[in-house]
Amino acid sequence: MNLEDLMEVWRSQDAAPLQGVNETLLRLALRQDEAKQQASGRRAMWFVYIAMAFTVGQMVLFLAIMLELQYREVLSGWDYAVAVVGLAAALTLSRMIYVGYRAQALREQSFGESLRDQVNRQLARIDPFVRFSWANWKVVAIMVLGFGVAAAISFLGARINHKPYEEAWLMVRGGIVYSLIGIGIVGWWLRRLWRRDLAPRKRRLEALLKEFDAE
Amino acid sequence: MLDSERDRIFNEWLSGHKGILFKVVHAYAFEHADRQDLFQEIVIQIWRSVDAFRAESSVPTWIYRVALNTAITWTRKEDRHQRGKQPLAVVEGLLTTASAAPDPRVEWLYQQIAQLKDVDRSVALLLLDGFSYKEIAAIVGITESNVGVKISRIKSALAGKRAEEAKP
Repeated sequence: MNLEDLMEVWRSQDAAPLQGVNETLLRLALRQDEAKQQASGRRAMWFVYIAMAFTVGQMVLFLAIMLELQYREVLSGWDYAVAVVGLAAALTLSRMIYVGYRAQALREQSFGESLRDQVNRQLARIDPFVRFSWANWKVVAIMVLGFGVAAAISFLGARINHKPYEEAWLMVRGGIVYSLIGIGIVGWWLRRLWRRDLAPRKRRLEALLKEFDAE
Repeated sequence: MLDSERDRIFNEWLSGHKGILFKVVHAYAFEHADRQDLFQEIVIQIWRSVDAFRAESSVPTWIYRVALNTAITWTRKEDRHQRGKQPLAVVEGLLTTASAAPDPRVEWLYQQIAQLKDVDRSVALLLLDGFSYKEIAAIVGITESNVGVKISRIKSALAGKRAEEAKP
């Protein structure tokens, strides 16, 4: 049997398909997916709203604290310095998160529509989790900036309540401990996700990529 | 695009080309539950792709592209569940059995395709459905010469199997 004969046999399926489809259930599946998509779209919108509210909130908080301190005439050089560093850290942190989010979206869009592009796109979705390591300067910078914001807010919060500098610095240390606990929990969750889901998927996709070029 | 327009296009695609979906599903999934899961995934991706279709390729090429893209990175529902990832709720009874008994020659072809590697399976399906080397290269994302190499390997595997089975 040559290729033409095989193609003839293959095409016989078009007249007599191997299976049928229950159209009613198919509609149900599509409605389910549509509802899921809408819910996911709403979640993404909330993420953007929360990120924007977080950025604006930080700035308003710093401004309010500074005005309050000025009103009470308790401002010193340290208060100014901490506020400026905290505000700069908050702005840089927000910008880095936004730029990272945009860069990832653009990278995923840059792939074409072939099978190989699809595999590369899937790999690009896993990449941000691979990059989540202490060896990566961006991750370290985000952590440091996060500490900076938490520390500055704690410090100024203490000063607004007329606490002496010693107590204000103690608040900073407390803020850092809470941040470390938070980072520990997120790190544990990411490692678990990586081990159970992403690492096997990445290996499978890389093996697929090799198959494309295999001769 | 209006929902009614999208519905109309999707219905046209599905009624005209669902054979392509069955072929891809049978080449990449081997249990009934898995086939149902993969079929549902593919149909959903095609539904989502209606807005993105720009008529730069033919509808069958587009459907093949979306179906193969889904199938090649598809993971069995059971595997996803074991890794703690909630799979899409599969609608039971989505796929029904055909009234006529399947052609044994078609079944033989599927058995041979199942033994190929994932990328080669895509090439085999496109080849059997009459796509040119150039079209296969564009859909898969490899060079035409690589398509040629893969096709000659697939052909010799099929011929070898036929010869082996013809031996008394």
